[in-house]
Amino acid sequence: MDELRLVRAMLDDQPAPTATEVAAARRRVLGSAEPSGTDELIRTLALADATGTAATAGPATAGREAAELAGTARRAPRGPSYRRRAGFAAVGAAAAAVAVAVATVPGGASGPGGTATARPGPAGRAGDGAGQAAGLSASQILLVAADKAALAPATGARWQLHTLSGGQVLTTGGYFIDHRYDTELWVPTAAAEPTWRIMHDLGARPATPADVAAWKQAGAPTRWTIPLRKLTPDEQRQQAEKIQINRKLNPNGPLIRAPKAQTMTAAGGAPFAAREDSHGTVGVIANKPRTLAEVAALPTDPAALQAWLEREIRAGYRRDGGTGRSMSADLFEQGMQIASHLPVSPALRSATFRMLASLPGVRAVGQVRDPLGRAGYAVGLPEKSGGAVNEQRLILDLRTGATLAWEVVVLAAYPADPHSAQAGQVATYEVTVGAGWTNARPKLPARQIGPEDAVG
Amino acid sequence: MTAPPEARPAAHPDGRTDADHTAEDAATMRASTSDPDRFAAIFDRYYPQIRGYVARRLTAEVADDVTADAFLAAFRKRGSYDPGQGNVRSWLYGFATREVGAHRRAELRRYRALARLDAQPSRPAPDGAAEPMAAAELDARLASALAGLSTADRDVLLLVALAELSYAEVGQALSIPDGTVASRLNRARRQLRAALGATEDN
Repeated sequence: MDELRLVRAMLDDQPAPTATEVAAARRRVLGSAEPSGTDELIRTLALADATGTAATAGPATAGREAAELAGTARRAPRGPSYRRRAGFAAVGAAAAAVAVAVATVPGGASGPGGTATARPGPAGRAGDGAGQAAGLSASQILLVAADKAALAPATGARWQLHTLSGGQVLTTGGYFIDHRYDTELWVPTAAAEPTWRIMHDLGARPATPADVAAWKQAGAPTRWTIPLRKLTPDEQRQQAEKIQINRKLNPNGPLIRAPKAQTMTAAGGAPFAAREDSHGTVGVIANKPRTLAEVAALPTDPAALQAWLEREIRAGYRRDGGTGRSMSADLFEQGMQIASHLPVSPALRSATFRMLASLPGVRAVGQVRDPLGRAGYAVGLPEKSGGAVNEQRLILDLRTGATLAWEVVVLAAYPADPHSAQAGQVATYEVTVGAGWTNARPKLPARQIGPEDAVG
Repeated sequence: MTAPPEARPAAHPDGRTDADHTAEDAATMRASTSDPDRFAAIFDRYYPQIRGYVARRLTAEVADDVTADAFLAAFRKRGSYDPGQGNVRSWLYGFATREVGAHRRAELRRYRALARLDAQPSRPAPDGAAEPMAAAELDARLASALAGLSTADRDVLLLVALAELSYAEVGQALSIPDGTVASRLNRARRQLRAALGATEDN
């Protein structure tokens, strides 16, 4: 009898960490490093984070000096998203906890809906942040991120992408609600294993303090109807794109249908897992699903990458008559997609940031908080869209090079369109809760569907 | 309890073994004293296995926190790492074991939970398990025996059983002589066997 082996077998009942958990631990340890190289550039900023608005900054942004001064800072609660253990019931609770935490951020106050989570802090308000990045230009922010990205590990049996997305939606009551969706994508490297997409409707809530007031006046309903409206050309394109991509991934029955008059609830829905026939694809670039091998073969020289992307963007959208946007805007969005949502090598992420840094029109927004209240630095690209000006923003954690979130912020609203979010607000956001390689397996909720089952 | 077992971190993803890394690690550690970012390579190489060791002793629930603490402690002491006293891997297991020691009550709670028969998942008896004894009862006895070991003996036993360190590496991790490692391990194994009802020479 080998009692050592028995001990090992008995204690071997603990799950491996998720990519998110490893990333949080890594930030905790390495985020404490003394500055060197590009760190010099952000040292003052980290200290400002640690001593100033530390309410939700946590150890991820606190410098080592500050952590040691504070003594307990090292054990300060981390962002609730990191505390989450993969159970799905926990997601809603975690999101609620985030809302509470964020409500305490100075300047980020909000009503019971906790909707300040959907907006950057004061520093992130359009136009006023650039000077506050302690002189960091857009390219400096991106180059620091590029350097950090080059250090990230890249191994594991599965690629995990965990996002939280939402945005402002007008209700028939005349006020806006923020409807949030939690999505986990698990793509295995083993061909025999299925790809899973676990989706959880986290429900909706009034979007801003003004909306909270209007909502209360309307009797505080927990169920909303979203009026049908004519989609903007941009939205039509995105909708067509989603359906098209989904058809490619699931030829036997689309998971996404064109929108009908929709009902949203405060409670949201139960999570479910969708098994996908992804045929080895790990994500989408320029309207086309790509395999891991294709992603791995992308050029790691910024200029070559840009040339390739421009070709793919032209080819990918040709049928739709183009996206109607500037090439810069398309490159920004596709670059964000590559750097944030795809399993790419550190070299490719780094090249992507370098490419973004060279795009005309990209500006430094400065220090902001993402919708989960995590502090980061944003670069943005304002673009005209009809009569409005929107800005895509990429929020980065400069200590790790990780993407925190992608947002579309309204800089100037459509003059006469009550359907659009107002200036200074985040119209759409997609938070990267975690992205990385892991040996952990998805914890599948009870409800599971295959590619043959359509979701209404 | 229902989680799938994790692949054992016997070799690194690059296909090389820990031994291959020894010289490289030592150079990285030296460089990290002036360039702290270099410590990232040490973290990436060893976090998964150290975290696995901590999770098995304390549960996955707290493993990331405790392992990050261990790496932080190691990071702060990186200047005092001496390659002459052993490899980086066993040096890190030393920090991890000390951090686990700070959570002794959590560890004992885990063993006591495993020692409750009704808490045992029903799984087939492992190969070579004493035949008439059910796997659940075997685990229950093993867990309560683990809880009954002295901390010093348990550290040695689990560094061998879970981390698969050699006697010399365990000695380096815990800063004790090889002979002490051997005697503690023997004593711990004797206690486990007694709890399982096996004879000395099985």
